[in-house]
Amino acid sequence: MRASPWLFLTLLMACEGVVGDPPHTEEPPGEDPPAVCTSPPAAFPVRRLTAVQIENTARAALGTATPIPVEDERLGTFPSNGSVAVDANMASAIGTWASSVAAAATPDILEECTDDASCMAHLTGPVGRLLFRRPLEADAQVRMERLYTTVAAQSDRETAVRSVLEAMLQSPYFLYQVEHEDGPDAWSQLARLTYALWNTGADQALLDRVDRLADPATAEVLVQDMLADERFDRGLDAFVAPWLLLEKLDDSNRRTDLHGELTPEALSALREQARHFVLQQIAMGGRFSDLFRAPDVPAAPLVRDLLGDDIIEEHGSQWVFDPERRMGLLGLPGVLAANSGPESSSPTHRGVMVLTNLLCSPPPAPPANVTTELPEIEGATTRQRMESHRADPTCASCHRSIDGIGFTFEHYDWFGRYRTQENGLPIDSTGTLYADGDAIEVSDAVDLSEALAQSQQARECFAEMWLTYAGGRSPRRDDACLLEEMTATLDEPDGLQAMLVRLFSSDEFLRSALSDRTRTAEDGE
Amino acid sequence: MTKRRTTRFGRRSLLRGAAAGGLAGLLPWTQRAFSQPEVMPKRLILFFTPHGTIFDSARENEKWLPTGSETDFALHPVMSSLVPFQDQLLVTHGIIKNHRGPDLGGPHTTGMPILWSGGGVAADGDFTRGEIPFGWNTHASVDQLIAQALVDRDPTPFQSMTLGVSPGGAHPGSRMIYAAPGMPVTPVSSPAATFERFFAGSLPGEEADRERARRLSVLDAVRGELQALSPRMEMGARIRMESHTDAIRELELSLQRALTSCEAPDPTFDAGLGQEIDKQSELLATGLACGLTRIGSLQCRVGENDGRVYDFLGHTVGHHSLTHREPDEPDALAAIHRFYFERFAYLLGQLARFTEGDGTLLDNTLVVWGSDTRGWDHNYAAPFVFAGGRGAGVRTGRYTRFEGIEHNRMLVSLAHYMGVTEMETIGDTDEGRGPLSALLS
Repeated sequence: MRASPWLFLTLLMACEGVVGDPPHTEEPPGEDPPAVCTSPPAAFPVRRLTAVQIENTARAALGTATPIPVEDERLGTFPSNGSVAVDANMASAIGTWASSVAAAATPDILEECTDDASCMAHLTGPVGRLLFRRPLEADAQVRMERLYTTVAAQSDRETAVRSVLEAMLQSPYFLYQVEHEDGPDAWSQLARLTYALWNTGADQALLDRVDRLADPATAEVLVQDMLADERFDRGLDAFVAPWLLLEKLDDSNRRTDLHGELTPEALSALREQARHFVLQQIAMGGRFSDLFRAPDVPAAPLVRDLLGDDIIEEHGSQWVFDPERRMGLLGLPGVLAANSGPESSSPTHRGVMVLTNLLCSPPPAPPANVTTELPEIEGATTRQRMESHRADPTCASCHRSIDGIGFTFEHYDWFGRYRTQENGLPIDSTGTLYADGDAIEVSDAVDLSEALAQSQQARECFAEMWLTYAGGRSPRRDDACLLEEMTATLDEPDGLQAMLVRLFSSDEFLRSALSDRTRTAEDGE
Repeated sequence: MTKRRTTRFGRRSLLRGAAAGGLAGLLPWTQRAFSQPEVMPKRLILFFTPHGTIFDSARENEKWLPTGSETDFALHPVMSSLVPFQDQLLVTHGIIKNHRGPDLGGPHTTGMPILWSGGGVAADGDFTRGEIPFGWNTHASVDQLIAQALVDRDPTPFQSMTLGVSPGGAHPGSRMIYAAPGMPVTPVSSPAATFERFFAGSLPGEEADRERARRLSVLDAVRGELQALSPRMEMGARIRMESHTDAIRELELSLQRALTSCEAPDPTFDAGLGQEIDKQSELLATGLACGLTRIGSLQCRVGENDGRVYDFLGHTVGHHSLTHREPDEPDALAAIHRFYFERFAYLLGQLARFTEGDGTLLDNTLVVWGSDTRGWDHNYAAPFVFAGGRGAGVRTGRYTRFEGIEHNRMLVSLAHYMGVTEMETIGDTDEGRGPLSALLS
């Protein structure tokens, strides 16, 4: 096994290798002999890159990219294309996109070469390496050179360069996280890291460090360096935005209320503030509990008005929340606005988000044949209207846990602005959090945040969310050991970063084989 | 808010070629294979709009239905745009979708695969609703089964034109057309993409020929990449790579095939939901008229809870939420469905534009409108409206009430209409056999 100082610390706290054991977070380090996860690493599915990953990779390699008109599948809350195959209609859309990106990128490529031989070498060398995130194999090189020669003979150099780019942008080595049957080679391992952490492909400097992955100790350093890179900031959006449902802020067709009030720039600032908050906790040595407890958040001047008196200190790029009114992630106006309904605070949306993505305990879908709309009651608060809705016993069973959380946010309106009354009536923000097998009475969202900061279930869910996001599949039984280790690290100093390093430098993440579970021949029938 | 915009096809050489000929937008197709047969072929279009129609639980009959008798009836005002086509319509009541598979709280998700395939979703898979897992469709949709049967009997350049507007990402609640179990067909989701996919292969001229040759070389290299890689991948991934390889081969073939003489559609269109749906309808009608295929579909948005706010209708609340408010806000919901019936009428108008024999393309095309659900009550008794097909003996100009006929009978009838008479049952919801003789004749 590996033997880095960091790993040693982790192993002291690790599970005993028995799947399903409760986590041992309470035990002080050093009591038990080091144990390792012995369960075989569970395979991850082969994934086609997401639309954003495709655009990011093309832009990084070619300096230009347009949005690709292919929508992603979802794995739970995360975009992830591990299920369906590319059919002719999708291939056509990808081809049209490749054609336009290749045309836009060709002038720059032509500046880099002087004759057919040097253009071909440039394409199959540095350009191809960035697009494929690995050196072109000999047969691919021959294939691209043949394409170049064929087209050049019928037209000109510009057309030949454009055609090779067009083919590369449709190659499976560009479109998928390619891995061969005999397990991931170092290039594939590097791609697993760059897409999970940066949401884009490796640059030349990182490709040059690929040999570090061979040794677990240097692999861990590489992961730490990647976490410290500015690309982790942008890449983190791919986790944070779906996790907190912030993508809703972008959809002008769904949230006309928000788009009527705020500029697209302000809405982006809301989304960025949440991401920067999470990044700050990771980078500044935060533990899991800091995600919910931290009173200071990155400033977002464009949306300063939403926060009124809730900010008690502003220094530089940081704001400090009034801890009586809001703290941490769940005090951020972007999180609250994204998880509200059109012009209403929607305790249901907020409660469902917390249950589903923060506690991994999604409520069932509403049964058929019920209205999910609140009754209009003149002058009533949202809470009173909800409570009237819950008089229906078919609704009450699920809404007990949803609203128990959702009501605690009632001090924030649909924009996340603090309020003490609604329709002239005082806000009642008391609620109940059903988590860790208990019913925990909470007085408001600040209190709820404190309860989540202490919740073991929330810690486990956070680890599960990261594994789902990074691995492209739901956690399975044989992930229990890795998940326990990840969960255990969350309360160490630098806990958030330690958990990410644990996940991303693990054998399970880096070295397990890929397998396409969902589209096997047996499943097909 | 609509803005006139010209589509760009990323093939400047083609557009240059068109401009040089002074024929931009209206190009004669080259004469090639697939000459027009003497007897007009039958065509089929499946047309989807989300979330059923207006519905009133207090009324025995859904209130969108016509009033009057089978042959002498008045359409509901929400369908007033269809009045000019009334003698081409067959409005039905009482065709009911059976449900199979996991209970996901109503038909928004499962209603989509069941709609045209008669098959539920798999009981396990990577999707979840609450904590209930589910998978992809278990059966192919009827249009694809027909298209697969027609490959030998009546070959056309394309097996089908599967179109959409804002059809969402790949998910059972946002896909209704399936080539096989677990194989959704991606809808071509913009008019520009439709032009590129189905019409670019037939543009005339030397410049276009050169561009086709270049594109074929590119696709040949892409296919080479896939073929070299797939044997080196693990079994499951290999299957997906092989499907991708087939897709590239299909693109190559579609560049090599072309059409009978016919006018190319104008590639320009206006931005906006209605405008894009209408443009897709125009391209679909043109494709059928030109003999590109016999089978088409157009999916407007998604069955999975659609939160789209119809701001151009003055709404501030999304469609799905409105359906649950319907008893309180009937006018807002009616406006959405009036909008969608107008789109349906536009499609019929596009089909009627093409003369065929003594009639029009509409006379030879059976168009079926369906939806994921009936309305806010999440009932599987989704409404169906049929149009066209008169030339092939469909008795239109009728309002027919059935007593709880399972919709599998209707789907089998579509196959029989298209000449695929060996089909007796469809999907795993089917409890009967054969076509519904009273439906189409």
